This record gives sequence, structure tokens and C-alpha cells, in this order.
Amino acid sequence: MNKQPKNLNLLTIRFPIPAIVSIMHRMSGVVIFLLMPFITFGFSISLMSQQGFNDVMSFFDLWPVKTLGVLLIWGIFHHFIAGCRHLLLDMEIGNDLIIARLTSKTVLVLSFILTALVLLI
Amino acid sequence: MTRFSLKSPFGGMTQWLYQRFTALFMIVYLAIIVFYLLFYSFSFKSWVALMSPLWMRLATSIFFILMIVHAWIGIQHVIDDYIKYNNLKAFTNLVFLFLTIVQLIYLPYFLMVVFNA
Repeated sequence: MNKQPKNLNLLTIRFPIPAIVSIMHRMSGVVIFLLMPFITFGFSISLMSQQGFNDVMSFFDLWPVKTLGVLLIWGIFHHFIAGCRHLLLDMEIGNDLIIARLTSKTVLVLSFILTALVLLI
Repeated sequence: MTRFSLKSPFGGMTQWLYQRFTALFMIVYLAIIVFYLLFYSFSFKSWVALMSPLWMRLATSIFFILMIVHAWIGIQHVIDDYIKYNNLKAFTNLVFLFLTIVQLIYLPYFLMVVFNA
């Protein structure tokens, strides 16, 4: 019926930068959702006692936890900044293609820099 | 012509609005927390001091409730988009709903009742 050629091979499609930011917004959202039980649990343990606070902090010294933690922090920063951009777009700020590309690049760079800053501190 | 309606509490338009307004609250809350953590050294004492006042407990409870609502709406759309099989969709929905409800009850309970400093 439909003779049009289809190409849904994701590896051959080059996404524009706003699309990458958009899909990363979604992916980071899913990651944050899946790690939320750990966040809430760690949050409450860290407030219970000095011992609990130390336990949570030393838990982050384990390398798998540290890797996930860095991923999570990056995800939160990305989700936060891309979300702000999205709210601005809803108010029809930055809808022009050139500005939209510029702000999406800004989102990527800023979230990367902020994650690096958290790691350094 | 499509007319948007806000009458349905779980309709698409209302979800869209929930998502924006929960985001606004979370942006303000997180900005305050990040600025506090930037200027004060992070230790158990300062962490508890930050979270202890009643208004902060209330704000944090509201933050977590809104975060869970925001996350629930978001994850619903992701599930809708990527999971094709209805049984699997219903199952994942159920698991995630359980996860969110447990946290929805646990966090305000912890902040308002269990946590005393």
C-alpha cells in the first residue's frame, strides 16, 4: 500500500541539537524516577543521625555508587536546565530556530560544567 | 476546531498545567537549596539546621509531593510511548504506582512526624 521508503535506523539519522536535548530531558527524567526511592531513602537516613549521615556519605565513596551518583547529578542538572528552557519556550521565548539551537547548546554545556563543579567541590 | 478544557482533573491539558506548575515550585525550591549548600559548609549539623524549621519541613514535603506528581505524569507518557503490549504496560504502571504511593506517604510522614532534631 505505502510504497514510500522507510528509514527508522536510529544510527543513520542525524538528530538536530534541540532533539538531542529533548530526548536527554526525557531520559534523565526516567533515570531520576528510577533512582527516586534511593534519593528519598538516603535523604531520610542522612537526617536521622550523625551516624546515618556518615553512612550515606561513605556509601558514595564506593565506585559504582559514585558513578551512578554522578550520572544522577548530571541528569538532575540537565533536567533542571532543559526544563527551564522548556518553560521559556512555552512562554514563546526563544522559539526562533537559531536561538533554539543556541539555548540547547547552552543547556548541554551548562549541565556539563555544573556537574564538573560539583565533582570538584 | 479544538477547544481545550480544564474540567477534567486528569485530562491532557490539566496534566500539561500540573507539569508546569510543579516544575515552577521545584525550580524555586532547588535554587534556594543549592545556594544554601554553596555558601554553608555541608555537614550533618548544617544539614539538620537547614531542614529543621517547620516552614522548611512543609516546603520539603510539598517539594517531594510535587516531584512525585511531576514524575508520575512524566513516566506515564514515557510508558505510553514506548511499551506496546498492554499487559506489560499495565504491569509497569502498577509497579511504578506502588513505588510512587509508598514514597508519597513515607516522605511527608518522615518529615513531619519521625524527623525531630
